Amino acid sequence: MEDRNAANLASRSTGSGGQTTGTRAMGDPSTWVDEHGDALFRYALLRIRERASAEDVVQETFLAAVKSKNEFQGNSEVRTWLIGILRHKIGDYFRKNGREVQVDSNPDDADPVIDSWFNKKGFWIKPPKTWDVNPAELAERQEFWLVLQGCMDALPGRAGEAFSLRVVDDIEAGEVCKVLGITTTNLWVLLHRARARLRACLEEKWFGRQTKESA
Amino acid sequence: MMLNCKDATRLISEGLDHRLSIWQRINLRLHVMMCKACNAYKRQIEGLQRVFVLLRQRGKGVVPDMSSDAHRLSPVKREQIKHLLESQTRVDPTDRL
Ligand SMILES: [Zn+2]
Repeated sequence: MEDRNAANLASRSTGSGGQTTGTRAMGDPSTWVDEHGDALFRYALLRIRERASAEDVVQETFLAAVKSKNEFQGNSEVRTWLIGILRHKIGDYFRKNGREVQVDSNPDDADPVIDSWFNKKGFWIKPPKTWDVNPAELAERQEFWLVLQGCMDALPGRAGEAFSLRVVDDIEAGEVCKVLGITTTNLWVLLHRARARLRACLEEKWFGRQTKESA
Repeated sequence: MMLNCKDATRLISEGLDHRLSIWQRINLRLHVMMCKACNAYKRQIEGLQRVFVLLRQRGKGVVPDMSSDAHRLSPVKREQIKHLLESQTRVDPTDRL
């Protein structure tokens, strides 16, 4: 019953109207785990930060989804629908464990961390160092990936979620907005915050080190 | 109207997410031409975006050795969920409604 509600809410929050004869097929549930399992797990891990619990929540999500698959409305991607259910399950998990559901800064508010990089007139106090990104080279380097991962883990709440869904998992902007319940403008703000912090983190943890080593 | 650096960094990011207006593009281009710091910032942000595209291409939607398996479901859990789903689909619970 509880599962059913979660899925119901999730499908409702992903848009109104639409019949089961939607434009998108939901595929065979037996393929869900391989197709979406890792993406759901990463999302859960981002919020819960503990492996075993994140896996359990993903399992509950799939079970709730298969029970209420008739409520899938086809006006969003299967993955978005699943993430909608997952978010409810994560909320349940936090409530059960007495952890506060994470309410972080509103995208409409100022971001004190980013604000602190600029003076009153909006010019850099501590300008970026000049280092160049060589994407092809970096993408090949396992150590870089580990540092990047550490920096992504440090992203705050919704900025981290937005970045992970949009940039890491390449989910369409409209779908990400539906899942997070935010406007497109909010999404741009969150992505900006995520990128700005990632850049600063990498400057400190990777590029700073590189230039010191080569100096 | 001249952009300050704070606005410029915001537009640099937004430029990756949607097409900026003609005035935003002109103002941003002027600022980045004259401001060394934002010029560096822009190359770094765009380079990072490219890194993620490359990582995705290699990993077919799943950032690759993103794994080190730390960011993927464990094989045991994966099988467990599959079994559970299978047993669920065999008895369609909606039949009981
Ligand atoms: Zn500037």
